[in-house]
Amino acid sequence: MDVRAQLSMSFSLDKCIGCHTCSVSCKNVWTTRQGAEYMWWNNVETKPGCGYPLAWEDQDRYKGGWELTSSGSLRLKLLKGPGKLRTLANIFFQPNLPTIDDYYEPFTFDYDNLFNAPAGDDQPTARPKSLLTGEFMDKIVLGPNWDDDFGGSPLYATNDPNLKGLSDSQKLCLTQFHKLFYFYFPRICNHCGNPGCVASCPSGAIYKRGEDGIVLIDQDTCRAWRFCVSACPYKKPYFNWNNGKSEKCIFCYPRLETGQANACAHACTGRIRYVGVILYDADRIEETAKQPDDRLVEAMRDLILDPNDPAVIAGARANGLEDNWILAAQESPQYNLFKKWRIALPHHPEFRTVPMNYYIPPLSPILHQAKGDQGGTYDPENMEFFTDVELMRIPTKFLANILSAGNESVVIEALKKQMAVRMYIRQQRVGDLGDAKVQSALREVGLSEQDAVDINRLLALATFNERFVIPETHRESKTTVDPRTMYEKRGSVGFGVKKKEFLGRSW
Amino acid sequence: MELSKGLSKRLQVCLVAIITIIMVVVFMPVQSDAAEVAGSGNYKAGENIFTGRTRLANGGTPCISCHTAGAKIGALSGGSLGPNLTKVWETKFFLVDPNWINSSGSPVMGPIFTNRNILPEEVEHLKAFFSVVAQENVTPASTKKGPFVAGGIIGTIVMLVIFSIVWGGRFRSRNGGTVHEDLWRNYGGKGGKR
Repeated sequence: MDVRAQLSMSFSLDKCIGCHTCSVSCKNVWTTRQGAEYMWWNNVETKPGCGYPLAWEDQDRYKGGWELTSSGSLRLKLLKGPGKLRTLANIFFQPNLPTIDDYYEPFTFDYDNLFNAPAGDDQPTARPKSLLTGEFMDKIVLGPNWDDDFGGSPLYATNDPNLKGLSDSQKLCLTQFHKLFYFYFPRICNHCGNPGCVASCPSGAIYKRGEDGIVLIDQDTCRAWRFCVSACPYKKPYFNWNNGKSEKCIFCYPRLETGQANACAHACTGRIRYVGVILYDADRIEETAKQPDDRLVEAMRDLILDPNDPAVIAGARANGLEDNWILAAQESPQYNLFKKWRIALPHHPEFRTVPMNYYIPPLSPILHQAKGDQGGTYDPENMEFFTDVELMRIPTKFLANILSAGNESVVIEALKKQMAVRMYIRQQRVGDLGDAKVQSALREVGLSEQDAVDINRLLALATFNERFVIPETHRESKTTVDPRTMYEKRGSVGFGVKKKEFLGRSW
Repeated sequence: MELSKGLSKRLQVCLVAIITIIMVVVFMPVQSDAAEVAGSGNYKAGENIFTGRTRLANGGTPCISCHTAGAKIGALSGGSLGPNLTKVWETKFFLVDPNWINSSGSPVMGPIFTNRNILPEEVEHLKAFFSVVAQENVTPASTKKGPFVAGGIIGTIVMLVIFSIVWGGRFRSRNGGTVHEDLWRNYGGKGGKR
């Protein structure tokens, strides 16, 4: 057992209102630089939809993530065939990279013209101007949240790769406004346990930090081969055309090291995000990633270790984890959501990168199902608050395609648990359901009353310090940093071109 | 001069004398015995160490990476980054010394050899090698730049042609253009650029 700590984030999709505050705060903190205009380390997508970059989930197109070979070993999809030879053959031109047309051409508007246009008969306009070429653009054809709230549908919604396996009547819901469903899906880098980006980098510039599991790109070593962009199935590394380096979500490590929440999580108005430490067994990552699709979520839960187990604590200490980290792991919302209560699920586990951020599937709209099977419409008179999760407007198959490699049972388990908690709390507050019904709902999903109280507390009422249990990093004891140079990059946090004084120094 | 004001005449004379002695020692041609091999080393072993056929015990870079010595070192002779060592035994014999090679004071060799020390035995063999090589004349490196430049240009053109054949059209053949166009086709062919 090799006990490691991972800083991880969970998203309660029920509460996400799609306000993009997370994206904007992330952009303001990290990517308002030239070359980074098109990057959204955090973005929010409308599901169903094609997301950003367009159709990123379609790995037949982008060849991201891992696949199992016939011999049962893991292989990057990108390197199908003769492995390293394929890397070499593709090193100057990879066919699987998303182009700027697949993201979007970053633009601004010619605001100056609004203020400085000479007096005339016509209203002055602010024409869009490309941030890449500086030229005026005829029209804007794509943006980072182009299909937000079903804008541009049904083109984008019907092309969602997660719709495979849905019935025709379910797909039909996408084109009929009185039947449609959608929800928001905020995304950051998953800081995977088995990251494809790290494995694919020809320069060895990407690494997963041992002390907190954050995956980073060494800006000094990066040579812009862009294999990470292709190999990451979530398309979260981006190429900066200005300095010729790849960049990605850094999980706001300068903030987390001092115990502050990530910029996106801190800013979240819906309070949907939870950040905490989980302990995992690094020895079993490969075994986990090799599981068959229907076992993947369970295997990922098995990978997470119980922070109250004395053997795990001893293993953590032996690996140099400080007591405040072990304490944080014991109080972690992440452990409870993912492992203890089993209501959070990984994002696309079938990519086999063992993603370390989790999503609580959305129950909404909880009130009524659309009676879609009878061809009926949304029924506002219906007083049946808690219907079968299988009949909800968001098809469980669709959620399963996103969150559990198509395995509906784990999604239904998570939804039923949330439903049981809501029934329990409604019985406490309103008392119109009857104790017997509530107790049987809790029993069916295996939750105790205390669990229901705790889940409700964390998902609905939790304060800042309950949502973010972030231990400070003991930077002074981490061997990867030379104490003489601890502060020399302060203020630059790893970005920018290689500085001359760093060249050729050895320690 | 400010400096000389502060120094007594006697001290100045002393300094000049010391510097002169140093200069004489440094630049005095050494009369090595013609056929004799210096020190206890072996000429062949020294040559092997110089050319890297025998690896340095501590993993240091072989001399030939940067230096050349004599005319018989390999088909392409040695590197031209460092000084030509053909006459080193005549001019700077005292630098063929493990202490100097391994010292961190020398700016180029220091970083290489301070961590991967060359051994005194290896230097003994090198001394033997240099003492023999010093009898040859220094052969200047080839100065014919014309064929090199022409070869470079032709090589570049050939490479570009190969690149263009191998990688040209890859993007166009990939899913037939941008994702956006593909989505439109998938949607039923309405709209889009194609």
